[in-house]
Amino acid sequence: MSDWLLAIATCLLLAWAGRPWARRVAGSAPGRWGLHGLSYLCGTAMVSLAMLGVAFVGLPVSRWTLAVAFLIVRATGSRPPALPERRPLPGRGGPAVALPMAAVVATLGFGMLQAFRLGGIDSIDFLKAWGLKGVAVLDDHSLDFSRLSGPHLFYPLEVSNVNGAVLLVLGHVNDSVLRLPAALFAVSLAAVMWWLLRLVMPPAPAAAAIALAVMTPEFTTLMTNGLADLVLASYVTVCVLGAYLWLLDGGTRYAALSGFAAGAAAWTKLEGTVACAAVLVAVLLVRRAWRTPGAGIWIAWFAVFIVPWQVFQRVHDIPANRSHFKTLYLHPLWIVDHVARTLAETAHWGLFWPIVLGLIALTTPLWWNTPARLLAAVTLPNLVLTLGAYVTHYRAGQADSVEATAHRLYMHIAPSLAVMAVMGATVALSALRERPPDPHPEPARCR
Amino acid sequence: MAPGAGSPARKVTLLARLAVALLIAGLAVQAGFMVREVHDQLSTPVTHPLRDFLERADALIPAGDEYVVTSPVRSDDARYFLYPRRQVTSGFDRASLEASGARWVIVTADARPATLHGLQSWYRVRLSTPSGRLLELTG
Repeated sequence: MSDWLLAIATCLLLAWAGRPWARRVAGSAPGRWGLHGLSYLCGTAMVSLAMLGVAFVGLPVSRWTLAVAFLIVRATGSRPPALPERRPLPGRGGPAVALPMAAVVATLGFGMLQAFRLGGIDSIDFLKAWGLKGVAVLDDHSLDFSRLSGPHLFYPLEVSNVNGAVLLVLGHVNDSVLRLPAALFAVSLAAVMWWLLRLVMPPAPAAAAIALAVMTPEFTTLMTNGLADLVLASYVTVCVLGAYLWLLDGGTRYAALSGFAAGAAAWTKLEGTVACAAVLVAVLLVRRAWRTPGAGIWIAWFAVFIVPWQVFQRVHDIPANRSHFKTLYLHPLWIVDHVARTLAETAHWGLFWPIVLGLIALTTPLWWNTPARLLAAVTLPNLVLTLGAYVTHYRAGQADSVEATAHRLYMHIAPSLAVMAVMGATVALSALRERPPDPHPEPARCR
Repeated sequence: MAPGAGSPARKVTLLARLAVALLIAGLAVQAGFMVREVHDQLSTPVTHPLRDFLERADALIPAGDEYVVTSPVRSDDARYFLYPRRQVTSGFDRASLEASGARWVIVTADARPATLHGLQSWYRVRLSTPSGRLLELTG
């Protein structure tokens, strides 16, 4: 019981430390729930980065230096600028909002319940990477992982450092409670999505987009199994929505939010670097200018999270990536067939992928000439990249470990694609409401 | 065909209605999948047999001792639970194991080498569960 209380306290401290940073990067006032969610996302990223800073200066990563890291993160983010209000789009409440929001609350509630009842984490990547490195932080008080071997040492440290922080506070290994910080990323994502989507959508589509994003078996599984994919999805989604607002806004206001989330995504998992770099490239292409306002801020945040870990790896001779992306397997037909079968299989995702991809395709003629095209520009390239990236792993007839992991490797793009799909449906609904008078009315209608 | 049936406005209306219907139906279908998932998860007992075995092994193996795991699939599990003890690789016959320097062998249920079946004079069985056996080399 005391372990759970300490884990809850650590999560609250992470959000407390991140709160000023949330105000700093938000771009506009995020509202109460958006601020809570963004505080947690900022706190976990910044405190885990500060732990690397502690190791960088040669101090042991202990309970005391962790406390200092919390205080430094909180203090350095303080005195954030006053955020301008940005009004949410108008819209009515009612059952169209209440029903999907009830589904969201129920789904996230189930995920939280699972976090408390499932016990220790046995998923393989947790045992060999995200959890093991957390245990190594507790035992060795360092981040050079000199007593570990295997091909996972180069993985970025956000998730394992958060695990390590909780274990340091506990003073011993109890991985049951590590499901809690993982599950809170999903709750934070939903809260931040609500804030950001209300700036660009009426309440009913915003609620529908969040419901579509969270209501999959894969989402609730990844809330609690100690892997990094949902954490990555949280940051990639904020990066994408921040970039969309950055484009819509025309100025630099949301560049920091998008860039911060991009950096945190890269600090979470390797795929985050590629996915968020693609978002920046899309922004630059849309604006047709390398020196577009805000790009410097975006890149600076990206570098804040990427550069220290790269330097630390070289200083401490942490082996670079030796096994991933070494070979290209160019079997397009086999890959297309395999990816299509994976997307159509319902045990992990239900019918999420057919629904989302069908909606996007179906509504393309409707949103093509609307501002929703900007959202497409920052979401759809990552769909192609993610599915196409498997040429680095798939061998025709021998999918190896990717066969087992493909489902979760789509997670980081899923919430933003759900938003794109609902945006398409929203544009469609607007077209229905505002359609011009039919020049060829049916006879029945004339009566 | 009715006059104007193929007009752009009618096509837009049709597309838009299809999209909205697909979204509503999609949300309902996904809610159904979630209900099934919740039912399946909550009705499946939560067990961690290998974890229980390895946690007991963790209590038995002294700090600093080295160990061998017979299953390449389960070696990550053992590395996590027995950290910071060092895992070494070895063949599973008596000579190889004694040459490896390891004092402990973890035989998991999915990988039981013939040389480690039953009882032998050169090791003691310190722990035996359906998930595996912990052997201490005595030679």
